[in-house]
Amino acid sequence: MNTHDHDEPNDEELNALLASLPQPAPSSALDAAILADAEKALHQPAAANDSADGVLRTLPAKKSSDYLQRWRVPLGLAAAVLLTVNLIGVDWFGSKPAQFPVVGEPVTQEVMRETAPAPVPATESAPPPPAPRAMAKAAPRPPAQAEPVPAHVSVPVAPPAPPPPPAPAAAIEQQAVMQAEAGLQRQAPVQRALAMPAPVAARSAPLPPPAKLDASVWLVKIDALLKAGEGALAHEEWAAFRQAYPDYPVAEELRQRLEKK
Amino acid sequence: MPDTLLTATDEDLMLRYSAGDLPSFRELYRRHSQGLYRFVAWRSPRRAWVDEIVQDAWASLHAARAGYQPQAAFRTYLYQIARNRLIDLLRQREGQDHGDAGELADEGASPPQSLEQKQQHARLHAAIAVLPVEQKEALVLQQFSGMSILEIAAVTGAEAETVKSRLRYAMQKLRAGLDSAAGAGGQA
Repeated sequence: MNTHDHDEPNDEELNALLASLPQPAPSSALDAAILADAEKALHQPAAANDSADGVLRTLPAKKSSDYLQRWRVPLGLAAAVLLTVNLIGVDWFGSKPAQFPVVGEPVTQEVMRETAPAPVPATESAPPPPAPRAMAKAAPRPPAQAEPVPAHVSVPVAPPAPPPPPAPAAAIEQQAVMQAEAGLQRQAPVQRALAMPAPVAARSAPLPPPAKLDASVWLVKIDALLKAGEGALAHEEWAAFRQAYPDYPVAEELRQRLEKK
Repeated sequence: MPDTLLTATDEDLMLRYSAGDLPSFRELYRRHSQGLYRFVAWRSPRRAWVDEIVQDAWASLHAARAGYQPQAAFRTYLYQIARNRLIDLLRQREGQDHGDAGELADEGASPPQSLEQKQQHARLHAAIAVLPVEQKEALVLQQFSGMSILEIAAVTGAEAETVKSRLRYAMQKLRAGLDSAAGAGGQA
């Protein structure tokens, strides 16, 4: 080894001076500590005694653990959401259309309020039979009858305030309607809501399918029309009634009066 | 000590040590502990850091023994480890007062000196202390650790010509420092 590659003629004296310079040296304690460290490290298991080997061997396992740790929470959340949708969401969404009546019916919000707090099994919240609903929606309405108010349905126990005295024909007709409503109030809220006459929005829509009232109510209405002298109107109602209820038993006296006119 | 240890090269000893042979490590330590300690002591700005850096360097050698390639000279490998450890420490403790760098001249075990020798050593030590870091590093590795130009280049990561230039400038500054100090002493 050449330690004086750059020597110049005047450097000999300087080199000698540098070589004579006192030099620091490790203490015996440091020597002992370093040798003891090496001996201790060599006697430890190879897998755990040094960081160089340790890094190479432990990194893959640590990486795998980190990977699982990082995705554990998102995977858990996704699984919980899927489980919730499968167990609850499908039934809930599936029963939703049947629980809500057609848009425009006055009691839609009321029905939601009454049914929302207590989730009901699908079998209990099944929609009512379609026939009464269709009858109520398309029932012919007398011109003199006051518009039904949604608040009237939301408070079923309190009867509506009596309207001002109507004309005789209108009074009889209204009495029949009130009887029908009284019958409806004994039904379940949803059925009651569905059976209520449609509001303005529903009536302004294209004419619904054939009108249907409850048969007994309908007959009372026809009888009232006859007694009020509205024979033509009573016959129209009678024809519609027969289409809707061809086999319904009708009192002989009423039938004779209708056929007589 | 067996003859095989005395005659074995550093690289052979390092390979044996990597395989778990403690006597090989002892022999490596015997050969290089002095030079490494001098290098760290002259480069370290604080005397208190020297033992820590040297001990860390040997511990790092143990940790990195599995990755040692016999193509690399062991000594440069060892000094690079120590140098990197020193640089890390300097970065960590940047901004601290390094005012005790002049302690080294009094630390080593030295034979009895005449008054004139002591004065010369003090002037020389002062001249080395004010050298730029790269020049001082090259000078220490050459003069106190016995490395060649190529070995110094390998340890410091510089070109051989660069190392030569640093050494040349370092010697010029030392001569100039000694001459001016001698002139000032003669005038006084």
